[in-house]
Amino acid sequence: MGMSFSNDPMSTGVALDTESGLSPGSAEDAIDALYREHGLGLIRFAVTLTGDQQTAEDVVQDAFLGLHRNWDQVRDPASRPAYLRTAVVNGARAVHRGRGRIKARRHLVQREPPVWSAEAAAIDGEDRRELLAAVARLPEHQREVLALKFFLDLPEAEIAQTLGIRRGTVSSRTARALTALSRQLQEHK
Amino acid sequence: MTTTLEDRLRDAYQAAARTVRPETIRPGVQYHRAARARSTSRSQRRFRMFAPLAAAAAVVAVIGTAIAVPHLVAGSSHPATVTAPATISAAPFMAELASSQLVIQQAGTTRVTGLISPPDGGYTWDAVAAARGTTFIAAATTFSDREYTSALYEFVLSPDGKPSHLMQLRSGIPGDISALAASQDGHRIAYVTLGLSSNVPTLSVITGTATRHWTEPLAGPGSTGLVTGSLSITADGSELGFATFTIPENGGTVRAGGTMWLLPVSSAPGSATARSHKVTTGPADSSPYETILSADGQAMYVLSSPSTEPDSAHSGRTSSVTLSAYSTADGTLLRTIHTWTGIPDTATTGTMPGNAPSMTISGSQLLVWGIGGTTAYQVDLVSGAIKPVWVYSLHQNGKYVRTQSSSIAW
Repeated sequence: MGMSFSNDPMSTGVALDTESGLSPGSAEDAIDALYREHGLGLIRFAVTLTGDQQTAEDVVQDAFLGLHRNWDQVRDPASRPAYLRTAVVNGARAVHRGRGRIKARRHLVQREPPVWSAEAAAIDGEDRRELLAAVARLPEHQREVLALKFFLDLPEAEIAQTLGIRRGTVSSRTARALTALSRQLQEHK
Repeated sequence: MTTTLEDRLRDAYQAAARTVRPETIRPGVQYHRAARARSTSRSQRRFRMFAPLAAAAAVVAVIGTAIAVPHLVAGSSHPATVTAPATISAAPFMAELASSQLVIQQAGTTRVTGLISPPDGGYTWDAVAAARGTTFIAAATTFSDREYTSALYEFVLSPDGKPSHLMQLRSGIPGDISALAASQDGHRIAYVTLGLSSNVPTLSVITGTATRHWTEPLAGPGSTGLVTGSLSITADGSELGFATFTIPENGGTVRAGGTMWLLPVSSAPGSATARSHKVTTGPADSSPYETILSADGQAMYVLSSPSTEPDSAHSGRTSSVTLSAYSTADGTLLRTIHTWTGIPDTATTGTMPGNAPSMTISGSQLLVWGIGGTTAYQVDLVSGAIKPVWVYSLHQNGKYVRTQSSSIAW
């Protein structure tokens, strides 16, 4: 018996499909292994984009469920971490834009304040908190490129692939983001 | 040294990332609830599917309860046994992580006697442990090439609490040190490390130039993981105390207990739990999450909370914290020392998940504190008396603000 998953991007679950040739155990085991290897790192990455751990966990879980749904389309194991990374970026984007399941769930539970807020008391150092708060005020596309470059330390080619943009755009977007960030920090002094 | 905006960004991102620890990650609670509520064949399939993912998240009910416990604040403890702020006689000075610095404070007073900045090279302080009372061990971590590297330092306090003789003991330790303990002579140092992406912490002990490692690889539902922030060592350095959690069998909301262990340091490397003696799972109908050994190793002090919903950290419920003493020889309950009740919910205090109270011990004096608060509680383990103790909080713009007091030693 094989397994594939609904391509409905808004589906929260998975539907069995007996037509494909992949055994259920192999997909689940592979995703389980991927989660063990990359889950924590992806949640940490998602925190840099969303600001709170609960939302980050939701984003990452949805990324893994998305991988599960699209298992047949992501056949190359080497491409799966990149797929998940892109899914996390897209998931965080959906949260900020108020779309999708995670946003809907956010209304159901009280969320934590951003980790960079003084209220959260999660990060040592006012400088760090101010810097991350300034990043949070940047436009979405600038926040993404900064996190990919300065948190994940990805080369420009991988950033371009993750965001679906050209390498030249990565350079210009990074430069603009740093300029805007520097200006914000000056203004808030 | 000039710090570029890029360097500052890297440092800030790492600080944000390190707020996420494996044991603070929730299972797929919301998915489970949704699946149960709908109770359709499709949703049942979803439930089964999600279980391994949730299990891999390495979250357990006991940790969920730990998450539910916010910081201890003044006035939240039992009024009958709390007295006025007191001068501590046990240890003259405390070392505390606050606002990126190591702060030396005269115990029982608000007097700060010294500040120690992190070492150069992008390091941040991670944890601090007391050795002889005036000798402390501190751990610092830096990030490069997409991974953490840690180093251990020793410093000594003068009779008036001034830090001096900061000396690097060990560098190049892979991973981020999340817990630290030192024997009384300072010759044996134990720590827990965790890599950026790994959710399998390693427990290590340095004796001289030798280092011994134990770990507890997660193997799906029902398996055990180390609590990364809980570690203690006997005064003679012969035994370690640590805590584990268990991944629920269904990967979800079913409660699974935390367990407290005693590990002889002479044990062969390998599985931490396989080499250890199980001491206790804490009081009945409760979830223990933090433990500390007495200096002689005969008693294990355990902080626990009542068993409630494992995801209650996110539901904003109040909770209580009980401090109990167990015999390490046979796990019997020696004494229930104190229960703090009426602790505010996490949502209103803004305390982050996983910020459960912590402990440090000096002789017969135990210190219990919560992250984010400016008050700790000194527990006299002989008399059971509890006294609130002021702990350092960063003084900014004329007011004290809450900081991440993730590690205190005295």
